[in-house]
Amino acid sequence: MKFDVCIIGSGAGGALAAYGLQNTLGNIAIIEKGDWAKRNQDPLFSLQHYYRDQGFIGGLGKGFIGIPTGEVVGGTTTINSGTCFETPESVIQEWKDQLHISIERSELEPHFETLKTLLSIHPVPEEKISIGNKLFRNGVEALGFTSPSPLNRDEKNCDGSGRCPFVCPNEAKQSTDVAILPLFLKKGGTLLTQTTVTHIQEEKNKVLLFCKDAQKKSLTVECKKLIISAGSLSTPILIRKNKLGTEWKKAGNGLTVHPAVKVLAQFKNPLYSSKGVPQAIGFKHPSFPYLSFEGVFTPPQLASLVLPLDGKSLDDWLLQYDHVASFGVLVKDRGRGTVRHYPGLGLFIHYPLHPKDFLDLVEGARFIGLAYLKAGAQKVVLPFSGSQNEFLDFNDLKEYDFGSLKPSQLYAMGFHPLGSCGIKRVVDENLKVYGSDRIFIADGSVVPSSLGVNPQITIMAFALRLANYLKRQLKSSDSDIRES
Amino acid sequence: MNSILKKVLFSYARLHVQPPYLSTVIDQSLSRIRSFPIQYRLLTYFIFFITEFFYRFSTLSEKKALALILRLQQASHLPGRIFISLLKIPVLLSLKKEYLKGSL
Ligand SMILES: Cc1cc2nc3c(=O)[nH]c(=O)nc-3n(C[C@H](O)[C@H](O)[C@H](O)COP(=O)(O)OP(=O)(O)OC[C@H]3O[C@@H](n4cnc5c(N)ncnc54)[C@H](O)[C@@H]3O)c2cc1C
Ligand code: SF4
Repeated sequence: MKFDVCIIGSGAGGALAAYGLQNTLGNIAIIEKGDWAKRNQDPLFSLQHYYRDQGFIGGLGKGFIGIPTGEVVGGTTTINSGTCFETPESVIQEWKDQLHISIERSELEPHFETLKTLLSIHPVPEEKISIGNKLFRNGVEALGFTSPSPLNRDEKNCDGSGRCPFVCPNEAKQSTDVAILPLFLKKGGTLLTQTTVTHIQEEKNKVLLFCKDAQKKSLTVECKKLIISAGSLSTPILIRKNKLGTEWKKAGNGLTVHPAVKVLAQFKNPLYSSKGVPQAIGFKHPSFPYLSFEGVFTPPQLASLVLPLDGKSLDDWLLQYDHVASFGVLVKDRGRGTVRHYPGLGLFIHYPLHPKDFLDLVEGARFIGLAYLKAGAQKVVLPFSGSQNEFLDFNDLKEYDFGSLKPSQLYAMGFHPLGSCGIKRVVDENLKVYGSDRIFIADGSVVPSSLGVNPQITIMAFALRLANYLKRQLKSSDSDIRES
Repeated sequence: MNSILKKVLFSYARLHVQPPYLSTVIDQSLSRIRSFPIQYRLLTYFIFFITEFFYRFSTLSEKKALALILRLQQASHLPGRIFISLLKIPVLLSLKKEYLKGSL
């Protein structure tokens, strides 16, 4: 099979790069390891079939941080919460000052506008906010802080079924499998599903991709330009394994994940928190400059995995789950990890939680607990083992000394792996792999440093910017794609 | 290995699950373990093996088994955290509210 452009991965980066290139750059193929998601399945079915390694992936350091990603058409957007943040101005400035990257906000702005329309991004309406989120808001206000505000999300006709991370049952969430890939296919694009790229070979006039299809049959695909959008955990592995470009040895370093924890609160009356948008409101405050608080809700079987309890206490939380609200907090990480692949062992992620990130998360968890107790919770459970973790009294929690806690005691997750092939390390500012003429990267791995906010819009805007760059190249006389 | 898995699953599940649902939970937990990615499946086998041969888990009374689980649950070092998580995951993923003891 021959294409002008091949894209590995159909998630936030891959699908938007394809969308941006469509109609201009000859014939384009997306090669995707996962299959189309079946809707209306049990959350455990989604976890088993649409999460890479059933969600078992994590980073080891002084502690363990789960790092789930999607392996399905639409990539992680199919199993994400749909929250949308533009790249913060302060982060773009940080890239300029500290990393000498000259990407201007004005370059990204038109793409943010395009995405707003394309994905129908708007704030969550009041009536869709889940009660668990509202109770957190009440508590924050009662603590005397500014009120948390509704988050922007990509959805059309969301009925608040609360299942976003397990595939939206009615295609309301505008993940790329819903909003982008159907447009791409309609305009003649090719999508090879259940096809895994195993090797990449760059030659003088072409790139060869060696793939395995669903039946494990080998398949070779040839293209003139390649965009790797396999995500922050897979792209660096492809770069390293195939020694692509001149800086391949740096691929896999510089990983950030936005370590996050959540706190559960039990109320007297039933809340049925699974109804309504689970990630509906967010909260940032200068007292916690590195933290972003966001709503979350997880079905009980999955929540039980991160409850640091057993025996009667665990049973009580599970039996009373209809009375439970929860909220999460993520940190703009100062720590950096590495991603490697060892034959026979699989993926190995080393992620040492930075001591300051750890302390911030502990205080973030305390703050959520205090807000819920203020809002009338009977008890809260904080994500630590080997320490008191259930609190019934506001002052007990306020005064409690967590000074002896260690990172290994934290139940943390990192939902946003980024930066493992960062700009100015593995790719240049145009996302071209250093030392390669034909290979580009458009996914979370190029994001130069931790964003501090949910990343899909930044990744998508970068992909659209790359598409524009390639289109400009097309206009230049030496493009072999135009010749074709 | 199958009998070790079943013994350990039973001994942990009985701490939470009403007797009529135990076999359902154990069957589901077993099939979950079998569907785990290979590295995690092997690690789970290893942990179940240690639990049975080191702690003699299935020979403990319910009270002693619970005390052991609560002690492991308090682990503050990484190997202990991973150990207890993998020991519990198959059963926890198979629980339903109506199976739990307190829902009687
Ligand atoms: C539970 C959860 C909730 C989240 N919520 C939000 C949110 O609300 N807002 C937000 O902004 N972000 C959220 N995120 C993160 C966000 O969705 C991701 O950061 C983003 O989708 C990453 O985009 P990407 O292009 O880097 O990779 P992905 O979207 O992960 O796409 C990579 C694709 O490449 C495929 N692939 C990998 N290797 C190969 C190969 N060798 N051959 C073929 N195909 C391959 C994978 O199957 C996958 O489909 C969430 C993440 C999770 C896990
Ligand atoms: S709340 Fe329900 S309907 Fe709305 S986007 Fe999430 S899964 Fe879809």
